[in-house]
Amino acid sequence: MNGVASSECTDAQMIEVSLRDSEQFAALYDRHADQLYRYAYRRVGPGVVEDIVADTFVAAFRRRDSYDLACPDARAWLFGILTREIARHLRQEKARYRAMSRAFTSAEEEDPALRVVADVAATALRGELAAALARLSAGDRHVLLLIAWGDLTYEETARALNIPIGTVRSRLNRARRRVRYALGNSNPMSTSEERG
Amino acid sequence: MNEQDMLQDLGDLLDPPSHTPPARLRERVLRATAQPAPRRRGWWGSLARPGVDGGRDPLAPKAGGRRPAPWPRRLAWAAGDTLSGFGPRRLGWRFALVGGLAAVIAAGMFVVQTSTVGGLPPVANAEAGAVLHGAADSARQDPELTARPDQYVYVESVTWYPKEGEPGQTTVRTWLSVDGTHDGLVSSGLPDRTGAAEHPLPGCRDGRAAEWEPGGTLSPDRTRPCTPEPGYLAEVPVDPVRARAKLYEDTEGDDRDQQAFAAVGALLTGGYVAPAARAALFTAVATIPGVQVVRDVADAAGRLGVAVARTERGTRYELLFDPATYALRGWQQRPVDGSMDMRMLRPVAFVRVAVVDRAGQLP
Repeated sequence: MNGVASSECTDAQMIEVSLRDSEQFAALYDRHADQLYRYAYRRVGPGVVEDIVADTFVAAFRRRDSYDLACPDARAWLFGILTREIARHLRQEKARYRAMSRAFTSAEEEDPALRVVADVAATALRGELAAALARLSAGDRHVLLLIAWGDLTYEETARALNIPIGTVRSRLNRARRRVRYALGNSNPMSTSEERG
Repeated sequence: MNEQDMLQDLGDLLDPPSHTPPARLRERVLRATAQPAPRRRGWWGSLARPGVDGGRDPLAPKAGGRRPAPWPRRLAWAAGDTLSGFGPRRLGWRFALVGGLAAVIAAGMFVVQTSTVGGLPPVANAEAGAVLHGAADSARQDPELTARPDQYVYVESVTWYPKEGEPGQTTVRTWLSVDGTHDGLVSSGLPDRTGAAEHPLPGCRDGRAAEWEPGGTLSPDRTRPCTPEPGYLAEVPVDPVRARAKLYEDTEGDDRDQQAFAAVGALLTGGYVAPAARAALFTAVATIPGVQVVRDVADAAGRLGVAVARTERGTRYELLFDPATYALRGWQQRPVDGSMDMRMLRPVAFVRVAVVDRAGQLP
């Protein structure tokens, strides 16, 4: 990671400035809050998302002097902190996926008339997918979702989680294999009694 | 769809109502980072109230001060439970209680609920009781549809359902086999992913029903085990005590009242319930603890009505009626914290019901 030759104020510069002037931190918030909030909301839902995002920024602010200022984009760094905050709410996260899975499963079962109309294959698979997410190990899920929902690259994911890029690849492969297996094993046209 | 598209699709469904975080979050972060020296207490300046807030996480909500009362942390549990109440469990109403067993249950109720008349617990909420009384009266005035086993119950409703990640509104016409053994049909204004707007509903004959092919047609050779699902729900009791027992028969756990309330929705959206049985259901619902009235609730067709509702674990179920006549209008559910667009949860507004001879035949 080299310094960036951009006329814009990079994250690194903002953080450097915020060492002197904490008001500047607002600019960092404005730049990244939407992405972090949306990502965290997907994973943990409305109940704790604000706590998690607020804690992330506060932790980032406290650790700003340890931020690698040679690295111009703070996104991976912030997502790393966010991931640690989310990991503290593992139970809520899994419950959210399971509830999602149940919602789709029961919505199918509930009404024979709508079972077919409502894009049954995709809907049934959504339930399977949500259940599969809940079953992944936390480490695998972090990698899978940082890439799928956080739009992080492999390199950014490695930096965010502080793991080698080879580990990112192997975790991602394993997570995708498991998800694919769960989707492939479900018959989209039937509903199953034991889920989640 | 491969698994990556599926992940994006699921992610879209899990998205917050607005992609921009609430302004209070920004304010909260900026306040917390406004002071250079991070101390675990007193960050909130004048908002921190020693003795009240002592020992608490400085980021935790304050009960008083300028913080809005329904601060997220209070809802921490809702994160997991928001969706958990969705979807009434599949009811075993096909295995209707035989009269004798129902009588035993009714007798048991009579012993326990000494203040009741005829075995029915008292009305749980006077306002809801009044609405449901009106609804029962209204139901009794409906002409009773009669049907032969080989005919079809035609149900026309307006609903919303997920369509490419967005809720889509459509009229759904459904032909349900009266006895559940004949192939029915469902037709929607919105074609599905395969482009089809009509799909057969396999009847259940000799314990087997045809499987759907991936395109939604019925397989000529693959079948699955089944139990006939009659479109004419003849086994819903006309006696409120037995109707109540039916609503509770498959409930378990610590939210049985909510499950019983959900059972009403499952019954009413599952086929035709004759007027007397519908009246019995409404009378029974009035005795479910926790029911309340919510006014000016829009149904899936956009009609404003009065709802008899019950909320538990973050989900509110709504049984909707015409505000003037108390005619049944619909059934829907919503997460109370708005965490998900309720239209994604298939609200149903009833338009009309009839009996016809053939699937696909309009009344």
